This record gives sequence, structure tokens and C-alpha cells, in this order.
Amino acid sequence: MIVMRDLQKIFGGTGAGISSTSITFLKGEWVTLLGTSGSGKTTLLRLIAGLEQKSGGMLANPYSLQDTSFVFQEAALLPWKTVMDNIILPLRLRGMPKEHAKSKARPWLDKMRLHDFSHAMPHELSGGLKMRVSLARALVTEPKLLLLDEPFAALDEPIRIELGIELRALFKQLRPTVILVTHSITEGLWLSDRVLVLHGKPGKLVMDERVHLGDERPLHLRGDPEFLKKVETCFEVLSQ
Amino acid sequence: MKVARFIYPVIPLVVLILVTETLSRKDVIPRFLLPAPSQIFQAVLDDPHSFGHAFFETALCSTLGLLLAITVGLAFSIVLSASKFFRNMFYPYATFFQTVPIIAIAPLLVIWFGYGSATVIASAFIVSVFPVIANSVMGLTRTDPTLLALFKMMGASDLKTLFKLRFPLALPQILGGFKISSGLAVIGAIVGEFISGSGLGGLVDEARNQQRVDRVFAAVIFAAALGIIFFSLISGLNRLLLRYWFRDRSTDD
Repeated sequence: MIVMRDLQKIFGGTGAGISSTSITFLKGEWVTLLGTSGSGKTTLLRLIAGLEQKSGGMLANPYSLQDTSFVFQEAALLPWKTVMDNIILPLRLRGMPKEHAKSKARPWLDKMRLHDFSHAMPHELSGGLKMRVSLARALVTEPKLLLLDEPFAALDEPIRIELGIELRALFKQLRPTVILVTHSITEGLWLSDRVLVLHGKPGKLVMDERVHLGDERPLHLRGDPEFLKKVETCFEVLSQ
Repeated sequence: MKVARFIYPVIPLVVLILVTETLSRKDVIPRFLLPAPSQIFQAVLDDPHSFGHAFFETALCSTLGLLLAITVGLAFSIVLSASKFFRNMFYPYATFFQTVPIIAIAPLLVIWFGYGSATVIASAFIVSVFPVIANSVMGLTRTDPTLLALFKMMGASDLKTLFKLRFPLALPQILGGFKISSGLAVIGAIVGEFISGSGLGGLVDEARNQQRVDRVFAAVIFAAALGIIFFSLISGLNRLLLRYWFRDRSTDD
């Protein structure tokens, strides 16, 4: 369980960040952070990851770095390494022998449908494939906390949907705590168990809503009247 | 076309040789100012041993000077890139190597190191070390912040981040510095040889004193060839190490 009380982080120059926010993230739930630009969605994620230092308040994160994986907006692959070597990077940095790391990575290559590309170099891959590699690298360590910072932002809609379905299936199987930052209300509601909306600059938590849509999230759910009603509510909160 | 890449640069050279040969033979330009290419070639054939020996000596001193510049420059760059404090304190002194007129301090090098290879190597080192430092520091300090954050999240130590991320990522810039330095090392060595009287620099100085313009030209051509060989070797190393970086096979949208 990640607990934050009156957590604050404001950037001097722009005034962006988050102001006095209290949230509790439960173990094994998928939480999506939605918000206007500058409302501190990414800042919140980076504070949890330890990539930013808080200005005030309290943050208790029981997950160690070993238990945490972070997926960035860009695939952030090492251009001189093959797909396989990029995926096993976190294991190698922990001192795991190469062959052992590769055997651990192989199932992830299959799950992310990358088995035909294990020897490919990053520059040979499309944007969607690069993001698959990035996700496989994040999942190969079997993290207990998965932080996703707009990982699908640069991708086309069909690929976003495809990756969303696959990620949700893996979530069902592994049950890590997932915190997803996204600009897409539909995507956020469709994939997660709970949606938080930040608003303003610096951002304040203005909505904390559970999404009771069950474990299965088929694509047609996005056309469901109840689902669309939730999208509308979020939209109204965001455009206040 | 690969053949064109080699043939096209040869065309102006052939034209230049033919024009200077004609002008010189017809005495349009006095031979003591611009000897005919055939005369330069003959000067080498008359004394192959001296040219061969001088070429080898300059090549050896330039190589040692360049290797020293690469080793010291890289080690210094790693220290400078480790902290802003070190950079602020020492980087201005690194620019000394770029701004110092080598010809002015070459006599000082002779006083320190004597009339031998050490002076020539020191001269090659002084001239060629700055591009290594400047490019390496730039490469090592401009690592993509996202990749740095990724390594931090993967729990990598500073040392692992340096050798597994910052160094390989900076390789294109670092090799760019080597490329610039490779040509400068030859220049530095020849300046050192002017003073210490050895190698191609010594040969140029000696031929000048004897008014043997053909031998001066021959030595200059050897020096230029040495510079080209150095540059080509470093370019080859560059291509070999960075072959995966080229995006010509990219399928990016």
C-alpha cells in the first residue's frame, strides 16, 4: 500500500506540480491518473518512483527499486543493443548471468509477441514494437509496482488498444499494483479499477472514482452506455 | 555507388598533377618555386631510405602522441563528467591545450625532453588532447535524462551507469573527437620535429635549408598521406563500432 498525506511538489519556474495531495494506492489495483497539463500527474508518478524529491508532506512507499518498474513515454531503448539484450538489461544490471537472464526473458518475448524480433536492433522496429520491448523490459523483473507514464501516447489508436488489451491480461495474471498516467479518459477508464483526476496548476485531487467494470475488459465495453456515462463525468470534471 | 566514392576524388588530383607537370615543364612557373610532380617523385626515388625512415618515425611519434591524448583525455573527461564541481574547477584549464600556440612552446619542450622522440610525442599530445576532452565531456554529460532515470529505476550504480549507459551513448561524440585529434596529432608531431630535427618535420627543415623544394614537397605529401591514413583508420573504427546506430534500415513512421 502506497500512502501519501499532504504530499507537495511545486516547480519554481512554471508553478506546475502537485499541491497538498492525500491518496492511498491499494496493493494489486490498477489506478489511472488523469489530469490537465501541468496538474502534476507525471510528477506524482516520479515522486512515487523516487525520481523527484517532495517539497512537503508524507509519502510511504513500501516497494523497493527491485520491486518497481517504470515505463516512460518514449520506449527508451539502448540503440546499440538487440531487442533481447534490451529486455534482459534490468536482470543483467542485477548481476544475473546472461543465459539465465535470456531464459527468463523468453516467455516475455512470446507474451509481447516479439519472438521474431529478438535479434533485431531498435532502429529496425516500428513505434509499437519498440513500446512492446519497453513493456517486456519492465515486466521481465516481475515487478510488484508498475509505473506507466503515458506509455501509449506516441502510438496509433489500434496499437494503443492492442497493447492495452495485452497489458490488462497480464495484469489479471500477475496482479501488480499499476499506476498509469494518461491523457485518454477512455483508455484510463477502460483499463483501470480506479480513476483519479488532478486539476489545476499545481494540481489538486478533484475526483477519486472506482470503476466497477469487472475483471474482463473487452473492447466493446467502451461502447457501453454506463461506460460512456463515466467518460462524460470525467470529461466534465477535467473541463471545469 | 561505391566505386564512384573512390574514383571521384582521384579526378581533381590527376588534373592537378597534369596541370602542374605541364606548367613546370614549360617553365610557366619556375621549378624552384613549384617543382613538377615527376621531379618530386624522382626526389623520393633518389633517397627512399630517408623518406621511409622519416615517415616511420613521424608515424610512430604521432601514434604514441595520439594514444596518449586518447588515454589521458578520456580519463580526464570521465573525472570532469563525474561532477559539475570538477568541471567548473578544471575545464577552463583544459582549454589551455587548445589555445596554446604549439610553435611557441615547442622550444620549451626541447628544454624539458631533449632532442628526441619525447619532445615530438609531447608536441603531438598537446595539440591533439583537447578535442578528445571537449567531445568526450560533451558526450558524457549530455545523456538522455529518460535513460538516466531508467538506469536509476533499475538500481544501477554510478559506475555501471557510466560504463553501461553514459559511455556507450557518448561513443559517437567521443569518436568524433578522436577523428579531429588524429589529424592534429600529425601536425603536432611535425611541429615538434621542426625543433628536434627528426622525422618528416626535420626532413622539411633540412630540405628548406638546402633550397630543395622538391624534397620539401615530397615530405609534405608524406605528412599529408600520414594524416589521411590516421583519419581513415579512425573513421573505419567509427563505422565498425557504430554500425548498429545507422538508421538506414529504419522502419520508423
